[in-house]
Amino acid sequence: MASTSAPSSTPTASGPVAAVRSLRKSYQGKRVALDGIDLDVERAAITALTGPNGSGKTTLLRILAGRLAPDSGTVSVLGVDPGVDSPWLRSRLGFVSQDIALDPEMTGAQLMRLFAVLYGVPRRQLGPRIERLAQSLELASHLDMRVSAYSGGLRRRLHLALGLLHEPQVLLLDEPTAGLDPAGRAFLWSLLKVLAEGSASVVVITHDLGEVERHCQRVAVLGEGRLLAHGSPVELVRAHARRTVKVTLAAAVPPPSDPLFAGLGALPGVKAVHRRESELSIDVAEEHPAKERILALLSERGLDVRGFQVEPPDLASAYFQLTGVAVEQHERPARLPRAGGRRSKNREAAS
Amino acid sequence: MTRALRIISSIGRRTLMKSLRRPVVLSFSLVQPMIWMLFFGFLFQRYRIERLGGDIRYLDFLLPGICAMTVLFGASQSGIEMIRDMQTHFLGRLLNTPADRRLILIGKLGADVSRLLAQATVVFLLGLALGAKISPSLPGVLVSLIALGLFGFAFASLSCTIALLTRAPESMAVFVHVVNMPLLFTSTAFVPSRQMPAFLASASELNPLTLAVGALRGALLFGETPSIARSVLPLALLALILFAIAAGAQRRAARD
Repeated sequence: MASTSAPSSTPTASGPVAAVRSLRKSYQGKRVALDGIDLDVERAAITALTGPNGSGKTTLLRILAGRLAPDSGTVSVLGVDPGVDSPWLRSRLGFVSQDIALDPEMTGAQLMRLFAVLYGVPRRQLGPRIERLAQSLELASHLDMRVSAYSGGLRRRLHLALGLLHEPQVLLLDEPTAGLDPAGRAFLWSLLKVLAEGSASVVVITHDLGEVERHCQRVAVLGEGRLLAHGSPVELVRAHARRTVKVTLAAAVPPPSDPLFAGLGALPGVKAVHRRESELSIDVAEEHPAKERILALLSERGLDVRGFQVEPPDLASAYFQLTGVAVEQHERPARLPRAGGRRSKNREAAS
Repeated sequence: MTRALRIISSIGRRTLMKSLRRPVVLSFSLVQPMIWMLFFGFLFQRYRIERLGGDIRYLDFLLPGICAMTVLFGASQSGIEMIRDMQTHFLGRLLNTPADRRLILIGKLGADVSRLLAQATVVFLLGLALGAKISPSLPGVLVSLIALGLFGFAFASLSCTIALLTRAPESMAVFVHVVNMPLLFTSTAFVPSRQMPAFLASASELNPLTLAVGALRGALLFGETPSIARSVLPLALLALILFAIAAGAQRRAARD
């Protein structure tokens, strides 16, 4: 009989719902995925896990889900080590992987009924629960179709529905919005909000920083297997984000050797200047230098300005400052410089 | 229905539904024993099978062997569905529910065994249509079906273990050559042990297929009730051991 390990004492209702300490994991003893992570997951809240590709987010989530064993460190979810085979924990944990795990030969209804039985959903609740979930995920009219006939978005929603069927206390989601249209994404976030309000604790891997700012109470930023920052989105913005002045020129921005950059760098409050094609991004302190002084420098160099706007500090900026990777560069391989300022390869900086 | 039975029957229903949706595979699994029965049956009909007793001809003798062979070949492919489930990540999902993983495996193997016994029954009826003569006893047939079911359960477990360890569909083809063929030709499925060379005859006595075939042959041809101690118990023990190994492999497959 598999052990039915349950926590010896009920974890306090106010403490973290999950915690990891000094967590390390490498693959084949070579590629380091997690390099000493300490993290508390808040109860009844949505925690976003974000960071560039290869930063260790999925590894961390799979360890929390008990799918992967760490090399060292401790993990606790609802007071139980997920590495110990615990049906007690499995019945309270929902894990929705990035890879869609469905049987294409079965219908949506067959899959829902099968998993309801495996999760031990009481028979009387089974029908209403499937119906409610199918309604809310807009699957109801497709339940009698085989999964092989489902569209990508439908599969994603059914994949999610199977993870929610047993009303887990802790829900771990790996990029659940991938492949969903904007309406599907909006719906998913509102669903997660409802679940968290209903006292579920949600950890979600996402690159959608705008949504994180709107919907998540906590956000943890990972980079190269380390926890770079953890806090509320407001705290992260306050601590790490910069106000950015975006200038669009009529022609390409001159090379970093151009005196323009020395001039901009000398302006009070300028932290960094990034150039890309015809766009200049100037990271500035809260009290940024007068628009006129920047414009004057540009006109001295004979550069024709087409656009000029001041962007307020946001999570995307905090993310960039922390990881060195711009949000729009997610899909490219990212390398993080350890010291000497955080800059991505694709943006030359001259400050 | 208790929770355990609900789990077994839900998984069993899924397994059966998926096999029934593969009519080509199902019908091929009947064609193969038919070909063997026709070739061997009519090829060796000319030769004398000594001292079989009564007026038993080679086709009569062969039929129980072919029925057991149908179960063996079917059981050896039991793991293929598991490999498909691993490829779609579905197995990991099944195994990470709170349901006892051994019940999930029992549901799958139980469904496979009932399908195999049904296939063996069809092969048996086809054999009768070809002219095989039998004089069965009902209790004997029931006991030998249990023996045959345990035999199928054991080898389906072995197939699942190989599938879980290799995760490669090719391993199922290798299974046929490495396990099925040696097992078949060192058993009494086609030849009575007294017509085998001495070393082969003693090997055949240890062969689980011989136990299953012997029980079925005794019940169908001679109306005997097989000995529980000599046929059912050893096969039950083998099934238990191979099931435990498969359950261990499955537990490891629940993790990445």
